[in-house]
Amino acid sequence: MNRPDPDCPAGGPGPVDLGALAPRRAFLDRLPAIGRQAADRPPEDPLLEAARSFVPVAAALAILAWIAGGSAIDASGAITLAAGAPDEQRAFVALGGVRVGEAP
Amino acid sequence: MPDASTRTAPASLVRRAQAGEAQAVADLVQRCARAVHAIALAHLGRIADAEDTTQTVLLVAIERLGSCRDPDRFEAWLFAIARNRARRALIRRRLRDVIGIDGPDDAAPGEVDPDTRRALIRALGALSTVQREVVLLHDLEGYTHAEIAGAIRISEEASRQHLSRARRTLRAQLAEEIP
Repeated sequence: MNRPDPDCPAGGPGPVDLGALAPRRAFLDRLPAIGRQAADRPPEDPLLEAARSFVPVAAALAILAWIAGGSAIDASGAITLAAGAPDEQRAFVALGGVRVGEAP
Repeated sequence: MPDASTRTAPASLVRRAQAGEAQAVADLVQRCARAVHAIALAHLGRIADAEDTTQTVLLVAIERLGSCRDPDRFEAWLFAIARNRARRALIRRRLRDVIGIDGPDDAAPGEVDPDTRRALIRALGALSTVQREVVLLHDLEGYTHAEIAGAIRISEEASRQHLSRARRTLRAQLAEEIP
């Protein structure tokens, strides 16, 4: 509990034994299978990857236009777009008063 | 605690995995799983949830490995995914229940002392998320401050301070639990 820690200054609090929080044996035993599953997955389509980076911009523009009262804007389409965006950008969309579902 | 030579992912391994070498992908998963688990646990506070999120993070990361442009900074990239997925999982869980960080014990029977695990989980709840990340990576997974700084994008000095405060708080919390 109080072993010296070469990575910390002298006089500082020593480490607490956190060993009980290590991943469970059953999980560690599953890792090779997870590795195989990951290796078998095809890499993401580069086109889809590029589209993903465009999604937040498209969603933000659509929402701004919707807030401005544009009748031709399909808000649900914007929500669908925004659902693929990272959390930070979905928060921006939420600022527009639109509830966005959990991303897939 | 994992050995220093096996816990981090060298850029060469990342590049081989990016090239589609199946063994490299499997090795990458093996090397990174514990650290991802530590990050997920820092956010989620439950072992079972951390395991589920770790699995998801590893699969998503491998699927998107091509978008990791700097293999030398692979861990920072991976941990960003881990934090993002853990936050999503936390939101989903809050919608599902209101038990929070002091949830039911999910230790496998006979594996660890469930009281110790429960006490540690509760004590971790008194820390900030970044303190939990630092203390778990350092004291559980054996990361150095330099490695933590690179992986979670804070300075080495900040990492030292977070660790020191985290340990102090953990000791105080545990002393209250086990007088």
